[in-house]
Amino acid sequence: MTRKEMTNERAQSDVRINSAERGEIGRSQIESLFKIHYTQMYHLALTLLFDEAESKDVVSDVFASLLSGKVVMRADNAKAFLLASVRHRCMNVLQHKQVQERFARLLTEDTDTLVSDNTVEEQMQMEELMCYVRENFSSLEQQIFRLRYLREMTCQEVAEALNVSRQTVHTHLKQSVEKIRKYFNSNSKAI
Amino acid sequence: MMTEDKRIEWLLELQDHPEQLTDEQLQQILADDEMRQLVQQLGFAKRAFKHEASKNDTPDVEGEWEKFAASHANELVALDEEKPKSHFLIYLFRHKIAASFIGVLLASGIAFAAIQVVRNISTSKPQQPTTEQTTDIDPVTLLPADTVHADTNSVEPCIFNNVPLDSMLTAIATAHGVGVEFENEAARQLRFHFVWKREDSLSRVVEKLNTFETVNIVEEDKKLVVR
Repeated sequence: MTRKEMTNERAQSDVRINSAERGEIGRSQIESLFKIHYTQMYHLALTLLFDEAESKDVVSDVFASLLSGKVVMRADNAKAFLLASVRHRCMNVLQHKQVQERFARLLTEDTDTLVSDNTVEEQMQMEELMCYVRENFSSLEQQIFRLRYLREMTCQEVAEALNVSRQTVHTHLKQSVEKIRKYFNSNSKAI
Repeated sequence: MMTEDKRIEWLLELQDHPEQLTDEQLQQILADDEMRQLVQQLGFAKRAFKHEASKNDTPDVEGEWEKFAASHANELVALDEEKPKSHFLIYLFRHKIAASFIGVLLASGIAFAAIQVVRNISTSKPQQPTTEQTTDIDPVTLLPADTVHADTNSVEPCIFNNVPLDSMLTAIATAHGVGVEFENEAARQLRFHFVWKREDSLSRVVEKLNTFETVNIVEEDKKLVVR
């Protein structure tokens, strides 16, 4: 987000919430919060669940619980609260998945120390890693990583999609993993 | 000891056929620190790739709102018609002084009740010291309502969303059976966003809190001291 966008966002949410000075959260406040924060909340959920439908459900559930009055939110801290709620719900969803699925899909565990609780910090860390990837991974390696892990294709499917042998896929995947390992092991990247 | 090379090979093979592994086998594999760390790092890399890819994914926010509004139409209408009690709480929290006052009353009330309970249980107990007593009261009740309530499972993390340090520490100290003392009174009102993982040891939690610049907590015998 650009600085200007952030200032606008803050100004917008302040203006809307100020109209609720008497302590009412009405439809227009919920609508405003929804429209301002939806994209960021959805993206956070996507990076945890990797599934569009599940992610949309989580965001929707967060707003639904606001509506029902089950949680009370400080209006001047909406963004942090909403993002934390998304994260919390995603962790819940992940916990209910089978261990095999979490392992195969590399999903975050609750005790995962690499998951910072601060979304801004986390995004910076992810962007740093992607910088490293762009500089150190060949484009084939990047493609293979994406197809295997983001599109969740099997090695066989990846090979067919790229018209290469399964062995090639395996080799490049292994090289990618080694480079990632190297990234974390140097400069004490682990938290 | 497995070499790094072999470990990576093995991981990739396992991931190709996850259905062949039982839960127990998987737990065993992940019990190895190196392997678990590798999985975590790869998991983070996957998230980083997804984060980058998401930049091109702009959801249809207006459309999603329409869907949400439609499926929650009744509740939205009700919201504008009545003023449920929760709105009073929002009003209250907007006024920090009132909220702090009520927080202090609550804490005092609980402390008073705790002292009564302790007096009733023991036969001859000396006067209570000035450090805040903690008992095994459910720490969730000490938190202001603006935190997300973890549900019944006590292993879920507790999210303190902009909560003052004194409430936060009292809850944490209670859970670990120790007391809290504020040598620095100003520190009581400092507010933080902190995720408290219940399974963390007290030292670990204190360590995490001390990463906040303005926080300096020392673990002494049976109490936490805030300097």
